[in-house]
Amino acid sequence: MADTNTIAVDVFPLLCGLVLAPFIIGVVNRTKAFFAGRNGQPLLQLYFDIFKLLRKGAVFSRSTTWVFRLAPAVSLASTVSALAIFSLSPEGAALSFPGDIVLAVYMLALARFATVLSALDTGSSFEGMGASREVMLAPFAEAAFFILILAAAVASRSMSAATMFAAAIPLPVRILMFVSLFIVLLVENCRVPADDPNTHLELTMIHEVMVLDNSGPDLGMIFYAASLKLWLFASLAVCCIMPAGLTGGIIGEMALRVAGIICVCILVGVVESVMARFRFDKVRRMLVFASVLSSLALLIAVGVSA
Amino acid sequence: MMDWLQTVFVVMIVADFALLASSRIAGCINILALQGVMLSVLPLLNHASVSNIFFASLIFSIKALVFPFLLRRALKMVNAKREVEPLVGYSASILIGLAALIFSFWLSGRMGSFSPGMAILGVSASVFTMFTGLFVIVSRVKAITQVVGYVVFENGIYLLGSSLMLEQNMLVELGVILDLLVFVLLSGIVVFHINREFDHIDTDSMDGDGPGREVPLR
Amino acid sequence: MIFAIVLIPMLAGAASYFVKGDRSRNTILVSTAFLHLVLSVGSLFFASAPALGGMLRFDEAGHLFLCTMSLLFLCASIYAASYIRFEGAAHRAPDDDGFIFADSPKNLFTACLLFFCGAMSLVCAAQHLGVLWIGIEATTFASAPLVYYHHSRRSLQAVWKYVMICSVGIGFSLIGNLLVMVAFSDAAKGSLFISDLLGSAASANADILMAAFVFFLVGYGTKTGLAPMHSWLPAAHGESPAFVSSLLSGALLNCAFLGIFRVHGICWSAGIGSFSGGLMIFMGLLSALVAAFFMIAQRDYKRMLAYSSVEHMGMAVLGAGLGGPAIVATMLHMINHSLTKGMLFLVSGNVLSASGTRRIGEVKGLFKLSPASGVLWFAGILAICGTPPSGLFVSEFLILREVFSRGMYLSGALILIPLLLIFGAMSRAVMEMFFGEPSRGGSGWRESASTILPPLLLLLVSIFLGLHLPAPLLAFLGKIGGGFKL
Repeated sequence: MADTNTIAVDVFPLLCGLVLAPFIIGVVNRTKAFFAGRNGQPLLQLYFDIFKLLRKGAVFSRSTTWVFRLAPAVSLASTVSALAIFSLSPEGAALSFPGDIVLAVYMLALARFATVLSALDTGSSFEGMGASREVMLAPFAEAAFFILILAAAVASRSMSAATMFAAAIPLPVRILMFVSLFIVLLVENCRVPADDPNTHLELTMIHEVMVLDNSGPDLGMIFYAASLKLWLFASLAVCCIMPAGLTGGIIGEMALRVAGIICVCILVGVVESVMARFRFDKVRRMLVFASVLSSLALLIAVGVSA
Repeated sequence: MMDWLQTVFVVMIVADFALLASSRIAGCINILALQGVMLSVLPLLNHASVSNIFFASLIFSIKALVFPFLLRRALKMVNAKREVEPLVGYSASILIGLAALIFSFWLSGRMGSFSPGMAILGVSASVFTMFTGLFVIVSRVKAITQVVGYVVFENGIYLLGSSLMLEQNMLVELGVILDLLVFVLLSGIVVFHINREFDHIDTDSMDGDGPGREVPLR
Repeated sequence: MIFAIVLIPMLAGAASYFVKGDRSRNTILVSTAFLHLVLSVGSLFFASAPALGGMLRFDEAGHLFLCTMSLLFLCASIYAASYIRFEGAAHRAPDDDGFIFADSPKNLFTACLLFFCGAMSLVCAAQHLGVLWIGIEATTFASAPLVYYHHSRRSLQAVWKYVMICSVGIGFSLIGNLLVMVAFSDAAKGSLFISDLLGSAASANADILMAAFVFFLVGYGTKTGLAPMHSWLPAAHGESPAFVSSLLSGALLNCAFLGIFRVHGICWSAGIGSFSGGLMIFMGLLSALVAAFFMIAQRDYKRMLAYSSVEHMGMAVLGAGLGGPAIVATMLHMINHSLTKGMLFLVSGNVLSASGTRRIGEVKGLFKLSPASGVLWFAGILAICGTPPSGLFVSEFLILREVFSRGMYLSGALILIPLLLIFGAMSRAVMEMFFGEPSRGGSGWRESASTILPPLLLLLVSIFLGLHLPAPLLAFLGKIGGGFKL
C-alpha cells in the first residue's frame, strides 16, 4: 500500500508538466526571436493567451456537429492521460501498470484522431487538406515512436514506462533513441522542418489548418494540449539522455529534468531558426530515417540483452 | 571504453543510412569525411600506443582530409549537377538498407559463435558498411558517387579488420590505404576524362546516344 | 635474383618515363623484356635465395607462370615496339566510331607496360598472401592506363568498368585475407606465409576458412574473368591495343588464377578440398556455358577472343577444382592458353590494322589482304578450339578424362556442350573472315617481321607442346600436383 508521500512523489512530475507546459512554448519562441534579433513575446505569453481565450465565448459554424464540439476536450483529455503515464518520477509515474506504454501511444493517437475528425467535420476543403497531410505523416511518425519504445522496453526488460527509462540502457542506444525521438518531436509538434507554426498560409500548414474554425475556450484547450504534447516528448527525450537518479530527491531530479527540457526547447528553437521547411516527401524520408534509427536501437538492444 | 567503441560503430551505421538518404553529392562527401574521422578514432580506443597514435593520424589525414578534398575538387572540376540521381529511390534505399542491417546482425551473431572475443556490433557495422558501399556503387548513376561507394566499401573492410580483434597487422591496413589512395587518384583522372568526353559523369549513358555515334557492336 | 626479376622491369619503367624519343624507349622495353626472360628461365637452373624474409620465393607453380608470362611479354613488347612506331607515323588506328581521338603519352604508356610486367612477376614470386594481394592489386593499376591507350569513348567506358569491377573484386579478396587470419589465429598466429598456412592447415578453423575461400573465389575470380563477374573482361580486352589484350589475357588472368590456386591449395591441405573444389567446378562450368552463349551472338572478333578466355579460365578452374592428376593437366592448360591466346590477340591487331574494322562481317578475304596474318589467324583459331595438334587439345583431353573417370557424367556433358558451341561459333567467324574478296581497299598497312614472328613463335611453342611433352616439364608439373593428392 503506497503511502501519501510516495503518491505525492509520483504525482509531482505530472503536476510540474501541467503547470509548466505553456512556459516551454515561450522558451521556443524566445529562442527564435533571439536568432531573428528581436526581443520576442514574453515567456509567459501562452498563459495569457489561454486565459484570454477561456474568458471568451465560442462561435460554431452551422455546418458542424457535436463531433466538432467534443473534439478539443477529447484531445486534451487523452493528452493528459498519456502525460500521466509518461511523467516519470524516480520510482514510478502518476499512472503505471505493465503495458501502459501501449495505452499511452494509443492515447496520443486518439488525440490525433479527434482533431482530424473535427477538421473533417467542418466540411472546409482547407481543413480536409490539413487532415489528409496529418494522417499521411502519422503512420511514419508512430512507427518510429513505437519501435523506439520497443527498443527501450527490450533494453530494460520492462513493459511499463515508469521503469523503462530508469534501467541502465547502453550509451549508443540512448543516443539513437534521443535523435530519433527528437525527429519525431519535430514532426509531432508541427515544428519547422515538417510544418511551420508561424505561417497562416493554409496551403503550407498541417496542424494549424486543422483548427482554423475553433475559437474561444476550444482553441484554448487545443493550445494547452499542444503545449502538453511538446512537454511530453521533450521530457521523454531528456529521459533518454539523462539517466534517472543523478540526484537524491524528487525536487532535484525534477529541477534537472526541467533544465533538460528547456535545453531541448532551445534546441528546437535553434533548428527552427537555421532550417527551412522541407518539401513534403522529404519529411516522410526524415521519418523513415527516424524509424531506421529506432530499429537500429532495437537491434542493438536485442543484441546486448541476448 | 566499450561504450565509446560501440558509439563509434553506431555512428558508422547511422552515417551509412545518411549516405543512402542523401540527395547531394557534397553531402555524401561530408559523410565520407565523418566516417574517416570515426575510423581514425578506432585504433586509439583499442589501446593508445605510439604506433597507434601514428596510425590514427595517418588514417585521419588520408580518410578525413585528403579523400574528401580530392573528391570535392573533382566535383568542382567536372562541374556536374549536384544531385545524386539514384536508380533506386531514397526511401526504398533506406528500407533495403534496414533489411541488410538486420541480415548483418544475424550474420555476425552466427560468426560470433565461431570466434569469441570479436565485437559483434563492430562486425555487423562493417558488414553493413560494405553492403552500403556496394549498393551505392550499383544504384547510383554518377561516376563520382560510385567512387564514394567504393571508398565506403573499403571503410567497411577496414572496420572489419579492426573489429575482428586481430593483432595489429600493418601490412593489410597499409594495403587498404594504399589501395584507396591509388584508386581515388586513378578514378579522379577517369572522372575528369569522362566529363571531358561526355559533358556529364553518368556512367549509365556512356554507351548511349552521343553525337556522331552509332550503337556499339552487338 | 628474385629482387632483380621483380625490380628490373619497374626500374626500367621509371627510366623510360623520363627518356625522350620512341626509339630509345623501345630499346629499353625490348631489352628489358629479353633480360627478364633470360633471368626467369635462368633461375630455373640456379636455385635462387628467398627474398624479403621468405615473402618472395619461386615455387614450381609460380615459376611456371613467370616463365610463360616472360616469354609472352617479350613477344608482346617486340610487337608493341613496332606498333608504337607505326602509330607514331601520323597514322591513326582505325576507330569504329569514326571520330578523332588522341593517344596516351607514350612515355607513360611504356612505363606502365614495364611496371605491369614487374607487378606480375611479384604475383608469381609471392609466398605470402598479403604480398600476393598487393601484387594483384598493382597489376590492376598498372594495366588501367594501358587499356585506356586510345582515348576513345568506348575505351574510357571499358577502363571505368575494369577499374571499378576489379577494385571491388580486390576488396573481396582483402576480406578473404582477413578471414584467413581469423581462421589461422590460433594455428599460425595470424601469419599469412603460405608455407605456415599449409603447415598448420589441419588445426585451422574450417568454417571460417570456407568463408574466406568464397571471398577469394569471388575476389580473384573477378580478376580471372569467371562468370558472372566477367563483364569487365570483354570490354577491356576488346578496347585495348592488341598486345595489351594479349598480355591481359595471357598473363594477367594467369596471375589472378594463381591467387585462387594458392588458396585452394591451403583449403586442400586443411581437408576442405571437396568444398573449395566443388565451388570451383561449379564456377568453371558456369563460365564455360556463359561464354559459349555470348560467343554465338558475338559480332566483334576481339570480344569473341575475350569470351574464349572466359571459357578457358572456366576450364582451368574446373581442372584445379578436381585436384589429383587433373592439376598437371590444368597447369598445362594454363601455359597453352597463354601462348595461344596471346598469339591470337597479337594477330588480331594485324587483322584490325589490315581491315580497319573489328566487325566479323566486314572483314572479307583476309588471306588476300594479308596472307601471313590470315594463315596465323586461321591456325590460331583452330588451336584455341582445341583441335589437335595444338597443346590445348592435350590439356583439355586430360581434364575431360579426369572428369569422366570420376564418374561426373553430367559435368562432362556440361563442359562438352559449350566446347562444341564455341567451336561452331569460332569456325564460322574465321571462315567468314578468311575467304572471299576484300571489300575495302587496303589500309596501307604492310605486315612486317616484328608483327608476324612473335605470334608465330608462340604458336610453334604451343604446337610443340601438343606433339611432345618433354619429360623434365612433366616432372616439374608433377611437383605442383603433389600438393593435391586425392
